[in-house]
Amino acid sequence: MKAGVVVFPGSNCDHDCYHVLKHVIGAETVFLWHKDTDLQGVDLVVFPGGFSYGDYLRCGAIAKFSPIVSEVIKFAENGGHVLGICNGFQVLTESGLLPGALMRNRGLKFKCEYVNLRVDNSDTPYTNMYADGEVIRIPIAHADGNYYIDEEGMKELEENNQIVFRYCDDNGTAEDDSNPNGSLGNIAGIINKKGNVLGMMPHPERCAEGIMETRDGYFLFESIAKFIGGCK
Amino acid sequence: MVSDIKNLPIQVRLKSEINIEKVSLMKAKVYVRLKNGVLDPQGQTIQSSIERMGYDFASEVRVGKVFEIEVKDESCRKDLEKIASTMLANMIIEEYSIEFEA
Repeated sequence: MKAGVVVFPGSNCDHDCYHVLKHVIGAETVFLWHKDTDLQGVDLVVFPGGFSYGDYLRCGAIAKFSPIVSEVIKFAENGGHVLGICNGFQVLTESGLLPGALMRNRGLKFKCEYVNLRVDNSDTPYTNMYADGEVIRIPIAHADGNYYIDEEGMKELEENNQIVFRYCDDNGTAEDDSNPNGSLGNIAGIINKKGNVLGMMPHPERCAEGIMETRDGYFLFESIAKFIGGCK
Repeated sequence: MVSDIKNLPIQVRLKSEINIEKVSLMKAKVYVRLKNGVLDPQGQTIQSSIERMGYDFASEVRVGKVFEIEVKDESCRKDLEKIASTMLANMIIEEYSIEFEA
């Protein structure tokens, strides 16, 4: 697997993603500059967390007009794998690669904390190392993670099993008191219908090594690396 | 009027010409607001602050945005609609309207 991490002005988790992919997973990894149009033959594109274009207008709204994103949209339409984390998830919804929108947190605060996630779909290229219903702990760090979609869209997400992660309590119950931001249905991460584009608000790259509080994020990267193959 | 300007010293002349240009501009105002039914926690917080100020007439507050764009005339309406629906507003959660102001 060759991975590319997109760098927008204001990205700040790009090096974390690069580190995990290159040094922990052992994948050939390159940075992809936002003004570039050459994806350098990567198999996986990662939109990292941060504040692309200063979060001006809306989070991710300006990024969708950058040269690299137009290329990534074509890449995804041709079946290429795209992972969006935090601001990357916002870029994916703004650019139409994933349905719905991410709004200001219900409590209006920037939330930076570990949360429990329930894996609701382990049958994706990104979650095949987890088990269905497994509770994992991955940190969030965002002010705009409040997932919204209209009723019809929600029905479609559920029917196609596109909801991959939900915020939950220690027992895996996804109810309002374990919802950090007001997301509909406690949604923390979704995948597109085709199954090649995943967006999530929590940061798996921040907990992918033994020295971290958990190592639960590692398995997301290992899942996609194994799915695409050719690492280590 | 224009011929008078041509007789003025260049610095004054440039300034006058710019002013003339400015007078002929108009303002397009693009209003972006949350759709009905989309929760607005900012609006709710502002509303409860209004209540804390001692006023009880405000039953709901919704927060939106206004984009003021200087334009020559109204012929850009179609283009502005495209810009508003693809960039200024996120049509999943928001709606927009355009007004021109002389």
